[in-house]
Amino acid sequence: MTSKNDDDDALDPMMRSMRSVWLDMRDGDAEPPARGFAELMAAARVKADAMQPETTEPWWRRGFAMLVRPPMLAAATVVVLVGGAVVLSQRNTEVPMRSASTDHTLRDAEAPAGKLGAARDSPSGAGSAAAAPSFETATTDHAAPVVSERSRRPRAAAPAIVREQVKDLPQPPAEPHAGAKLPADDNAERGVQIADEQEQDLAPKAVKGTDGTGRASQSDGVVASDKVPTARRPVSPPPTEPLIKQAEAAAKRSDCAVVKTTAERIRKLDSNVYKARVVTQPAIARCLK
Amino acid sequence: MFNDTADEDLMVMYQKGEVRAFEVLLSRHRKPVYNFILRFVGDKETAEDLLQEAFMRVIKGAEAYKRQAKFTTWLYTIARNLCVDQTRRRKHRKHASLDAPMDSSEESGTLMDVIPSNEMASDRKSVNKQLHETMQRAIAALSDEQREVFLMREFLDMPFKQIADVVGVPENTVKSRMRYALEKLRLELDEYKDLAKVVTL
Repeated sequence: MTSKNDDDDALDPMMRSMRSVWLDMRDGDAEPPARGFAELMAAARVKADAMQPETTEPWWRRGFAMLVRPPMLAAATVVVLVGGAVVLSQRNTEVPMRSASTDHTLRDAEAPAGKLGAARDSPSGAGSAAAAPSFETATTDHAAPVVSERSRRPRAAAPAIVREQVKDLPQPPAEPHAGAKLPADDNAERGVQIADEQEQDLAPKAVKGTDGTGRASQSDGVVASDKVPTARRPVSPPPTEPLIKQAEAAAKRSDCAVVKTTAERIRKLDSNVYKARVVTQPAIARCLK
Repeated sequence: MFNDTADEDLMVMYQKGEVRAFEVLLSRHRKPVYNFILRFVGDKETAEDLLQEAFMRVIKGAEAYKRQAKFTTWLYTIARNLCVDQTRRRKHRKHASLDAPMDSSEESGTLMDVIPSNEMASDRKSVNKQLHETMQRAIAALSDEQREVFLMREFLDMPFKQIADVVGVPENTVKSRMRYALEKLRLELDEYKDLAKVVTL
């Protein structure tokens, strides 16, 4: 283990001989008694068990064991409940968003809705038969979940009120086929109900058909239909109107880039207005070419 | 299985729950530790108790053991502290042990007095045994500081650095104590030098 040179230097011959004695003593070292050995080993085993790391089990088993503990189960339950509440609340907020997204759909279907309104006011077979299917197609194509959800709601009162209001309105002169119920009348009536409901929910659409986009309605040849919502809803300018003015102004100063951008926005918002009021203006049309 | 494994590795294994590793450590160090304690305190029963206590403390402190520390340094530090405490207690009580080694200052006679002259030369084994006893007494006559250094150096072959770590003093202090211990032993054993030469021949 060590070299004894440093010690040997300090030892005189007498001590060297004595060293051989004590080194000889080492050979005669006494064996310790066996007493206490078993106790030591027992204590060592207990301590070893206490020190033994818990890594003998695989991680997934330890993880599972941890997960099934009551506190973890309670925490998981709380997480599920909170998560469910969050999901439900988000779903509730999504419904108005979806209905907002259906604005475009309804605007696209504004002219058919107008026709539908005309069909409601004057039950001449040709108008109602043509309008109802087109409205339903436009509605169900883009916003089917909303419509179906609404159709599930109880809505007995609203159509009745609307019908009463409609009754109060001045009726157009009776036509030869006024009393006759055409085959398409069922569809038209359904369309009237949905249209009424949407008119109640979506004021801008109804307004748009009356004031700002009156020309669009005129272009389709249906004007009378928009009188009903006008009577019930406060008037507000349609969203396309400022854009049209902006496009006209830009066309006057020959800023075709703005004209194109604005015209595109108008087209996306209301294709009928786009066709009726944007493309028809020569200054704008020049820029769009 | 663990016979060639280093003490430190065995201790780490024991920390991981391997009881067999501790058993190897125990069987490896039980005897030298026991004899170190026995020579330090000079009493078999006390030595047995202290040996038990030393390994108990190893077991209790196993969790705190770090691989960087030399196991024997740790073990002999525990054993040495137990011996020092025991010696202090004994001095405090002022109860002289019945089988305590004789003080060198006492008029206890010489080896020549202990061994009858007619038997000395004839029975070499007997002489050897008695010379060992004399040596044991001389060692016991050393001061505690000198004795522990002498025992660790000469009986356990520890380097001075490790002894310094065990005792907790600078290495030079250890060397100094060793020098004084040897000087004292030389004086104590001077009259037996011829006998020692005979035995070692």
